[in-house]
Amino acid sequence: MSRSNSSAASLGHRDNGEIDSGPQKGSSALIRYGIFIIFGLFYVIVTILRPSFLSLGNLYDIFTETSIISFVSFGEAIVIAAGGLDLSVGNMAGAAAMLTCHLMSNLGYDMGISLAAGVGIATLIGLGNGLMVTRLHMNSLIATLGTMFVLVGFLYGLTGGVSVHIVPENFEYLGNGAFLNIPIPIYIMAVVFVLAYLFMEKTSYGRNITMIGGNIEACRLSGVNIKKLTLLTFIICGFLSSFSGILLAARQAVGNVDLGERFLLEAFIAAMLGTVIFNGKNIITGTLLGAIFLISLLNGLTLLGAGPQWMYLAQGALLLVAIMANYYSKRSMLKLPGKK
Amino acid sequence: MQKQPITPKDIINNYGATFAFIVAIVFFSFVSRGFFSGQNLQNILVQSTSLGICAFGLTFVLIAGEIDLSYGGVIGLVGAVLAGMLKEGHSIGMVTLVCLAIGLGTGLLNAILIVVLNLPSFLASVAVMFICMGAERIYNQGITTWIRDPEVVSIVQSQVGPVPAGVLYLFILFVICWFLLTQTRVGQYIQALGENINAVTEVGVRAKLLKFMVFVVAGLIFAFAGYIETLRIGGAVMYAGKQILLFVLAACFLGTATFKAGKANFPGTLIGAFFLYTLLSGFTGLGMKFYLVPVAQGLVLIISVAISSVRRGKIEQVQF
Repeated sequence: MSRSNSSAASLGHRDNGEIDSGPQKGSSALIRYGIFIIFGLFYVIVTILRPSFLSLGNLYDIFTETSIISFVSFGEAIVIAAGGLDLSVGNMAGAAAMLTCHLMSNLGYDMGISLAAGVGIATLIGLGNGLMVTRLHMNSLIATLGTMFVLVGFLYGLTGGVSVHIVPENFEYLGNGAFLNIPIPIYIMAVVFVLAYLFMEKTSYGRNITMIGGNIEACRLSGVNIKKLTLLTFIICGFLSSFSGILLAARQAVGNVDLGERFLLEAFIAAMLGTVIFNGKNIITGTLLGAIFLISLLNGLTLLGAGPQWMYLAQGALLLVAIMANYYSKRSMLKLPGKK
Repeated sequence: MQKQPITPKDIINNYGATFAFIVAIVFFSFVSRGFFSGQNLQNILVQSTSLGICAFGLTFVLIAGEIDLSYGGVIGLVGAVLAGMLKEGHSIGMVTLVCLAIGLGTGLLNAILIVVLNLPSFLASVAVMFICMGAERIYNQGITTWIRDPEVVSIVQSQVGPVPAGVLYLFILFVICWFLLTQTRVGQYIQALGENINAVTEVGVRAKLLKFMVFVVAGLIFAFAGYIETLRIGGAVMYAGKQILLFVLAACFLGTATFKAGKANFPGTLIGAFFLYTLLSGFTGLGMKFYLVPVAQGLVLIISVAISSVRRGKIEQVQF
């Protein structure tokens, strides 16, 4: 099975290896560029109606928001690439953020220690998710759902549901500060993006992870350590979610219990777009583009004066577009066997 | 198929959560005063009605080998329309029809996306969920609407003999679903869909049509759940579906660890729904902190599913 058709299949149809990839047809390219065309048109329309869309300030806003959701999206994309799904990303992000804020603001710990604790707890939860999936053979959907419940309890238990308001200024700097006029989260995102890209595309780990999602039997036969790699994806996912949570708390200067709630869906949409945009290849770059599309869509709609009710519709529609593009680009590439 | 002797391990595998449920009830009865009273047990049943009904819809889809999360939006949308139209003075009969039509519509939408267009059910149904949530928000402008008419509310809140009407609906639906699935040929085909869709096609059944129908029926059940939920609390709260979303999933998954290891089934789902609210009620009765309830629910879910899946021997990938 060639790599070209592997990871895009992870959440969709199992293609049991019976794939005969012919030459790539034009329609898949059309679909792929179709997303760019749709967004290009959207940007043009928004810019004509609201010129401030392209102002530097707004662009910084879009990219800062994108940075914040990009980490959790990378994590989700990597888990999805290996054929899993992590529902607890939002709560892991929330747990990391709340623990950091609580230690720092309420208990007066050093910022470094608090950050380490926040990142550490999310990584540990990721490890727990991974162990449940790889050692106890639980379906990742169920395992992470259980984690979600437990984390809701943890989040409320930590401060009794009270938001943590006071955060030191140098912590807020992480979310709102700027270096050379460019917001700090963008730098962090750039570093993480490069590392994640190198990991997924240039190391055998990354390539094998993508292969697990494509065809787990082939991996088993070729001696890939499936358990170790699947475990790794969940750990990475927990680790990266903590970045999103902590940076969001720093940006809004408040740590509240439902801070991470929005991440699940956003990460999910970005990661799905990510697997579509380059036909299942290069998911990290794709996911970043997906995150930019998502955030700029929401930003553009807000500028156009659309209320919150339209955001749900827009996100639902975007998700539909992504999975349809995913399906049809795959179908044009390979003879799709009957659904499972 | 070779018949194997049943070992204690098998029993724990298959009925782990059932035992845990019984243990929980016994435990709470001893330590929590007033837990094992008629009133409290009835409360647990009443609280789990809409959750249980909704979970039946999901169980249908899970048995057919797919997943449908659209109820997260459908329940809220149905509730908003129900309360909104009643406020505008429409008759309850008319409103009921509209609610069912919404369920039919979303069910059809799911079926078309998933069965006809072949999109993965998890993602497609999440998209439908968000579209419904948007529609709900547009319809009710983000305002909670209460139902003032006691006669309408009594459809669910009245007592039929000693049993609350809502609970009666839950059990009637349970019997219908259970009968349809295990005692009829159609039900066997639906079960077979989840195992091997090609085998169903081989025996001459139009498997796709059957799956299509499963999604439509699920949509109707979700709408019914939204209807019951709204009348049970006497009003339409914002995004009622989103609040119930994870609990329904948890009830169904808990059910997979209750009677048949790893397979969704109606008795299991029913027990799963009761279990979640038993934990809530028991913990509250003990005066525990409120945030320990989700922790307990999550742990019960994890442990029971882990017990029934640990022997599987290999990693299960997300198949829907």
